Amino acid sequence: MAGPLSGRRIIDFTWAWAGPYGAMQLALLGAEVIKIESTTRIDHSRQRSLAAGSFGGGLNQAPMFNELNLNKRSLTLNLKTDEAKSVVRDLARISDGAIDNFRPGTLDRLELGYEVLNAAHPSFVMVSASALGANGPERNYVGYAPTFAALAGLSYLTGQPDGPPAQMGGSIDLRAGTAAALAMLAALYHHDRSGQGQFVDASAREAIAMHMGEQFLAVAMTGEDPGRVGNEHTSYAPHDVYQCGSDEDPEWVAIACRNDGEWASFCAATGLTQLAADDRFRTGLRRWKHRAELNRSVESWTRERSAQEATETLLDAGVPASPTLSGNALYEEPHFKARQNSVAISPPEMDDREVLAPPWRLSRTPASIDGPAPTLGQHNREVLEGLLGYSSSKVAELEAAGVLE
Amino acid sequence: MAQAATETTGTERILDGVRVVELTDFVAGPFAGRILADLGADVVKLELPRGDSARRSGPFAHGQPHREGAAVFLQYNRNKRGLRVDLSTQAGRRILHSLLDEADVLLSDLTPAEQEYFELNSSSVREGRPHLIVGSVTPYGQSGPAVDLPSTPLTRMHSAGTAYTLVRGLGAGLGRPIATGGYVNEADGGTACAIGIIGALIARGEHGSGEGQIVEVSVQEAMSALDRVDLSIARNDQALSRRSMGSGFGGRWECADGHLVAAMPQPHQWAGLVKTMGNPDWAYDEEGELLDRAEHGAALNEKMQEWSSTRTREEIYHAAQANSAPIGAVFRPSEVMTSKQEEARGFFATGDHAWAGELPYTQISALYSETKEPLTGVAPLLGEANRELLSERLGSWSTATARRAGVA
Repeated sequence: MAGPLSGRRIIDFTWAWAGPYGAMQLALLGAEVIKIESTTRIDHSRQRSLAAGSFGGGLNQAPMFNELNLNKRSLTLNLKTDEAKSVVRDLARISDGAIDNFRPGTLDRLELGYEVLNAAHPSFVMVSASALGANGPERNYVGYAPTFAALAGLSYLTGQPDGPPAQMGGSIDLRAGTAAALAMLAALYHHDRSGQGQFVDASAREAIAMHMGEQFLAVAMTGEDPGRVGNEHTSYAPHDVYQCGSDEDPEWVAIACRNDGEWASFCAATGLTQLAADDRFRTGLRRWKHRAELNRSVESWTRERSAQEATETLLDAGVPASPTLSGNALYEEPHFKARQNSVAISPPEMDDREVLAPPWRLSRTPASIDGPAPTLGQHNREVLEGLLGYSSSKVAELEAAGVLE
Repeated sequence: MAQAATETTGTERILDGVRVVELTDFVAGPFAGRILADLGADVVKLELPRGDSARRSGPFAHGQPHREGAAVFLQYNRNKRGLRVDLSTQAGRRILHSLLDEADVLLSDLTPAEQEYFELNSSSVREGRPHLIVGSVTPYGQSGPAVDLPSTPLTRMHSAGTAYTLVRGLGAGLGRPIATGGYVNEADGGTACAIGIIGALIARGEHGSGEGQIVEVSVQEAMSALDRVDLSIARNDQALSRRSMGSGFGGRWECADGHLVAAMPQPHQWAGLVKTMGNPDWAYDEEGELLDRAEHGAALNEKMQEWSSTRTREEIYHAAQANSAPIGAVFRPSEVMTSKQEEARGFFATGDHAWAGELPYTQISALYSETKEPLTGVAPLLGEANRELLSERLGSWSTATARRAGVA
């Protein structure tokens, strides 16, 4: 059984990170997602300069692009040409919807805005996922993950108490993409029930802010902005990340004691019985007030062991703990392996890779990773001839006229 | 139902008529339920007699701990109906099952051990209820060695690769890993679950007559999924990705009143920033060409810092954006709340709660052209809908059952 969106076709005008991941989630859920690209306007994430430093040769060998465009097809079109616009309108006729992350108004200027696509295919569903939304005085503002997080107030809240606000990256974009995918699913469901299409205006900044709504309530309730707390909690201690091993090769373990019971278990399991007897640490409030001293004692224990050993000791005693897992350690972790949370894929021009499985496990209509990201223009013929029924001579004409660049 | 009337742009809400029974706690599960509730679903939130643990998590309205005034509870449970029921009693379980008989979705965050205790197994609960969708969102999923291990938002975030990935954004090399502010990563689990549930609703067909299924989400996996690029590169390429966006220039600068951040991968964006700064000589080489940012990134950053230090965030933000330079101000949450952009978009909507009073709640993050705006109701008082549900279900719950279950 294929994913819940099998049989749906979505035109994907997105690029960079957020939009492509939004569209990719639809593809993981079974939709046929056709990414419109152009050699005249290469997706940043295909470009070597944006890949991680030393690796990546060409446009079809970029790890970032691969990770954000799995399961998709690629059609190259130079949207500045009239013939390309006509191809998009033809594609809209046989598609259910489209998603884009252009600056608002860009598709309209290309004569491919919602009105046009909806005329080609009445009841069309379109999600436009921009930095700050398609409405409002700042609708023309542009941004990337770091600015989405900063403008949402999340950077301000993230960082060490005595340090600067965090510059945030990757997951911010993917969270914005997730909100766009959610909007598309909601609009598709509505379309199924009512026959009505619609235009959905999604803001990346709001996608971040909606995941931290309690912080705004906190402002309204206390009259103050919450501060940065690093790994600390506003009332629990110990509640932080502690160094294990040497300064040269440190590992980290996160430990959280939520109540006196877990604190007693912590002291017993670590053998730090003098802490249990220490009046400064007798109650939750006292531990929190004296957390600087407390943390030093905890870290003197963690430094003597590996993150794994510390974690096992504490979990056995019922105290929440986890090593800070790096990418590689995560893939090697027993729970990760038991749940088969990675999938091996073979990109055409890259070495085989293990990528993370979809984050939803649907028992009847499972999401799946069926293949790598496409090479640039990999599916031109398949889409133009196979889906749109163009003759091979027409495709050759388009190609000769530079429409497929 | 504690819902205020709202202005509407369409005739119906997307999930009108979808009935959800929610049995979840704190942030992840409740956020999934809130997304569904905002979109119009009738979400009945079941709480044990002691109430959701978020009711005991500060800060609180009016500056005093009170189960009806907790920010986390109020935000993540808007637009739901609250049923207080003692599920440790057989009567309570009968009430739960009678609700499930008429439900489209069971949203639960019970781990396998908890499912056993409540006799609410994801598979068996669907027996005799073929249309039912079971949305499950738990810290580590429903299988694997970690499913029932103790964890908190902090330890989950560190276990997911999130904290490891985030620290590199602080410009401190691979220093002490750090957690994302707030409960953002917990809420991510809820968003993923809501996506899966709407997917399952779509798969049931337009009349909802098709088969339901189980949607299983692990909060840890939902968090990891958002860092999939970095995690995959670390795994497959034995490398850390860099965040310079290929330019060697960018990052974070201090202004007179706080910080700015920027990433500007495209040349015209850099040119826009240079124009904003008044085309200073230091940005150009001897031939009058803009300096290459990859080559001169550090030096240019220093000059930019000098320039920004005497100006305010708002001043630079708007001026740079007018020239298409993607710069963002590091706003405080309070500044987001008074942003003209968000005011125009109605992102914060006032909800009037019987105990907590009027407060600004965030909307889910999209504006739909045809369907009604999301609801702007508030979270239920503990057991607020007990009487209402009792009269709705009078046929199926005897008074004695309701009393034994602590509902009456």
